[in-house]
Amino acid sequence: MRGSELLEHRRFPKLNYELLGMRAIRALWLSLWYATAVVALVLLTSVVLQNLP
Amino acid sequence: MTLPDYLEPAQAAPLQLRDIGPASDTQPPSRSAFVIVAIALSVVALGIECYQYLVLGAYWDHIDCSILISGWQHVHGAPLYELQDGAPVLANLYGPLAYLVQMPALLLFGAGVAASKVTSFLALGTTVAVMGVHMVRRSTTGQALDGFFLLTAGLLLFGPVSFWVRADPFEVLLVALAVVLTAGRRGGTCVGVCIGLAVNFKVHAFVYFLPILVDLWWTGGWRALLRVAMFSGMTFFIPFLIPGISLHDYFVTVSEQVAGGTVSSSLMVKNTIYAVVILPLLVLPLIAHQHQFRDKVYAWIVLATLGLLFYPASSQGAGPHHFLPLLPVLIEARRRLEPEGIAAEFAPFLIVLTASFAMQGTLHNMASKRGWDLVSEEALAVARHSPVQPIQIGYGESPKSYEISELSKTVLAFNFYPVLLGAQILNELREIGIEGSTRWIPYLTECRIKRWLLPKGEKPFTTISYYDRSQLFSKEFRQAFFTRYKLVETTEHFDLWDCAHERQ
Repeated sequence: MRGSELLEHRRFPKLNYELLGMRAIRALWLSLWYATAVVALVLLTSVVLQNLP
Repeated sequence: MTLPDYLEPAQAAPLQLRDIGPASDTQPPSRSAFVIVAIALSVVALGIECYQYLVLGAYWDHIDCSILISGWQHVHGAPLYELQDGAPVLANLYGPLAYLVQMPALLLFGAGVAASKVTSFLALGTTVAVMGVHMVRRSTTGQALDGFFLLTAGLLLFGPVSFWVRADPFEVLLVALAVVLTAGRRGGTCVGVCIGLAVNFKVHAFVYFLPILVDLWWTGGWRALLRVAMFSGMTFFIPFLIPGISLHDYFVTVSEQVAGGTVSSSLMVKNTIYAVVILPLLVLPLIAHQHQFRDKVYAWIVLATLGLLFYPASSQGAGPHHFLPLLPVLIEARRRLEPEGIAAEFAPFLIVLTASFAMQGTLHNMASKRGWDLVSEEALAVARHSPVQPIQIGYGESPKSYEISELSKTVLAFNFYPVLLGAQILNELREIGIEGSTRWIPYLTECRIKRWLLPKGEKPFTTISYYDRSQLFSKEFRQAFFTRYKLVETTEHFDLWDCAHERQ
């Protein structure tokens, strides 16, 4: 690798798309479950508040 | 310079499947916080449902009424499974304990609607305590939280079934006791007694114990199962030693109705929805990581039992509440599988999500029954001031007035105005092709019932079956009624019909 190419690689390294994809899927997966939990808790809270004696 | 791990070169850790899988998720405090909030909310929600049911002054439905009438009248000398022309008069296909279990509270606190619910609430509370102690003793804090989460969310999902005046709250308690006592020194004996009692409540209840039985066989072999069979058989028959409870008549009633029952497609859809919500509770931990073979077998048997319960749960008049007594073994299976990862840990939130809708429906149904206690009080006042006896509550035409009639009959039975006939059993008989009302025509033609209280302004005895929408009372029955009885008075909610023959 020539000196200019090495400098460019250090400044703009190539992305590991496979790992990045996996991380994105994992983030989506976590978001899905947290969203389910939030929606469930919000719904239950609203039903509880509507029906407090 | 260190590179972020989503960049080359190869300093980034080699990619593993577990990086996106659940096994890599350690339990951050935020997840525990979510679970704790969910437990607190579920407990409050369950408390609201229980309170609303306790102060309602009515029952969830007519089956509760029928159970209490039969039980109360048995305590006061009537036979429990009385047959008339080969068909039951009042009691349904439940076992004797379903009718008797509420009676001590009624005798202790005085017969009333609220008092009749106390034992079911006690069963619910004991289940929570038994499973709570079990989880705290046998699990880590995280597992105990997970178990308690599923317990409270599950009890909420099945709404009134967890505390209504029927066999189900007691079956949940017996399965919970069996889960806790299996590992004990006398595990076989205790499980046997629990199965015997549960089958005495409902004949198919042994199904809920299948995972426990397989586990017992695993540790104690065939000898343990033999002990279970012996003690469950002995326990099952004990209530039939009580005078007025005929084993023969019970088996006739059960065999007739089990053989004649049909499957409802709408219930199958409803059951499938519940099963879809329940399945991830075990399937996700099962696929997340490796487990001991015994624990995997336990979980798979729980899933197989869920499948087996589809048939009784899909019969006409049944429903997904048949899955409720499986809750303690479901919790135990999850405890053994040690759920790890976001999906396995958060699967009970699917239960909470569904339970929110179920709770809204439950409370809406309860709200629609507010004020019915005033109608039943009026019926009691009319009965007390009636110059002629015996007096009976009859039926009108609407499903609402049918439910109010059943409640009023229960209140009258509690106050020693015996119930001679009821439309609830006619529904069950109609479903198996038996017309049950014609046998009661002599009650009318011979004026054995002097006065009827019928829903005001409704056509007498035109109630329709909740199974096939057909008329519950035969044309001959109605004809006999109109021939013999005349409308004599009207109160706020009732038309009073007296036997015209007696008045002449």
